[in-house]
Amino acid sequence: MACEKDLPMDDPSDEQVNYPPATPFELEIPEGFPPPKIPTDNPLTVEGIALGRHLFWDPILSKDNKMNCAGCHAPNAAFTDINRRSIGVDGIAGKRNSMALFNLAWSPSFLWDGSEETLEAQILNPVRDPVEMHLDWKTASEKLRTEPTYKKMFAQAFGIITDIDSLTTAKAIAQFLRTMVSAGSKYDKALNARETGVQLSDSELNGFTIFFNDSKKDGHCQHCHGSILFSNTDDYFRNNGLDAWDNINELTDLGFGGHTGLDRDAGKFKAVTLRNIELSAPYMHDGRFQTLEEVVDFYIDDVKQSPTLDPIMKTDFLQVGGLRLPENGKEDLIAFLKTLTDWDFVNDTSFHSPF
Amino acid sequence: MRKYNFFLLMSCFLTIGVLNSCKDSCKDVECANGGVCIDGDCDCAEGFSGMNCENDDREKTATLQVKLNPTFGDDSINLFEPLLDESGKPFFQLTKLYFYISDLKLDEEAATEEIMLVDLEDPNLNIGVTDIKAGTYSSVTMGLGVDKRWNYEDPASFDNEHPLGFDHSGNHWSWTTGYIFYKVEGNYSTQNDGNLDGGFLFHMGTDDLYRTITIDKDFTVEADGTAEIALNIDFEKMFFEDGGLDLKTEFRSHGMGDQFEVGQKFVNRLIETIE
Repeated sequence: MACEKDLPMDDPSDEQVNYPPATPFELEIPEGFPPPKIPTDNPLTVEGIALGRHLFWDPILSKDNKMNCAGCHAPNAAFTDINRRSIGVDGIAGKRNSMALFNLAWSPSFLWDGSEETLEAQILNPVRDPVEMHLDWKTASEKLRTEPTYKKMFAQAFGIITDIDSLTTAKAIAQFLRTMVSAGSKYDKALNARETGVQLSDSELNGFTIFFNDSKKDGHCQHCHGSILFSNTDDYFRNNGLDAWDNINELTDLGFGGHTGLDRDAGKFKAVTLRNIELSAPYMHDGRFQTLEEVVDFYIDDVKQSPTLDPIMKTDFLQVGGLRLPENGKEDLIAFLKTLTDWDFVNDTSFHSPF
Repeated sequence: MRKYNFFLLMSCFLTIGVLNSCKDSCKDVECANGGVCIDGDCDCAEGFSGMNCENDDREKTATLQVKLNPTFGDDSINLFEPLLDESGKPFFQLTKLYFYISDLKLDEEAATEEIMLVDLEDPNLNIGVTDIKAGTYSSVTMGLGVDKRWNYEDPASFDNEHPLGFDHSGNHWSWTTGYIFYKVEGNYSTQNDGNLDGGFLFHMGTDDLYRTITIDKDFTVEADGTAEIALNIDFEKMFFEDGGLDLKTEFRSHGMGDQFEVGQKFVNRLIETIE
């Protein structure tokens, strides 16, 4: 759901203005979606969302004033990065592939390894990370405080006495991100065909069957990418067999295991949403696959053994000789995945730059 | 004037006399459990009775907990901890065990808010239990899975924390096939060489595989305590004894289609095994 209006940027000079309380904003919940997770200490407001949108698009939060959040989370890539690993202000590449930013109001945890439990906490990282925007929060806050426009916007969003700091900045950006809801794909419209008139093609329907079913000719995808979100909300982290290894020491990225400290979680990463997957290449936590064809080929016959390999990757893939999709099965499955693209969301200018 | 004064004095004496009588009628009366003496009688607080409110008539209850207890023969199994064979090599490991339980009853006393979820990974989960009346019981009846009156509900229609809610969306297949009644997952050694290279996975569901079981057992629920019902599942019996499943060929089922037969065998064996 997009923010309905933006705030005027005229004459922000008077510090003594008593602004009215921020205007509550009610998030429109798509049909079939569960209640969103909105923290009680950061409810959605019109002013907070507008501020968050400005901060998301403003390079002021980077060391060189040239990089904004959208630099690694571009709308036309479903708010991800077309690069395998994003390049920060110092020209250094990050460790993992940039993640898509939508439907975050339903995520129980954040990042590939789940190491951040709240969106607000996660937002603090890219600003200060040396391989990303490389700006300490003390300096970032001072820069914001010197901008009269931001003084006014922060006051309107959080009250005149609230300081401009990492917490309020992260809260505003989190509010904006929570409004970025994607539920208008072709698939969603086809679910409501009586009203929309949208139907899936034969190929897309075949792909739908392959995605959701478990027979020998099917893809078994919904076990990890199920629900209306096309990503589970529990058993979030899986080892899907990308790499063969026997000993944890062989891993360069422990993933979820790096967060929990448990050997049994080593090599597990978030099974992300497949909504808008057509636009969010490259794929997997390290961006190793450039195309959906490569992803499906991997699942067909290249799943590899390791001590923490998810049992379903053994029972439904390795132990049965890989996937045995029917003729044109790969093409049909990809055709179905492409029906999960929400062009209305991607093209919604309410989420684009306000500058 | 004297007459007037006499009557006034008599009125005062009468009044004082009456007041002294009221005060005296409760003088030696003790009302227990929050009761109040009124005119010599105890007015008892709700839930208490008797001359002095000494009878506690409130329903005595205990908190019910259902515990999953997987075993291998007589030995308990811990989640994620490999079992070792006689030579010390790992051969079996349980990594997931949860159950939906419908309509749990002790004798005829309903003990749940109709549907509950228990998960070995979170022994404190026990969502959906209610307090149970203290007393002596002789049987436990329960449905293994999600009864059909809820099985095709949309997870989004519940509160997120509800057993069938979105926080457990991984327990739901789809609106056509319903919920996954229980998951049993783990690893085993296909070559008996210590490598847990094989997986097993049983995700059971659909009305065809829903079962109601009754376990006859005498037990007492003490008031104001925690009553624990343990579901004992012997995996040696499930997979390593005659009549059990052969993990070499029967290592998975999603309970439908070409996997229905193995699923049915799994469910039938589970019913024989669970106690």
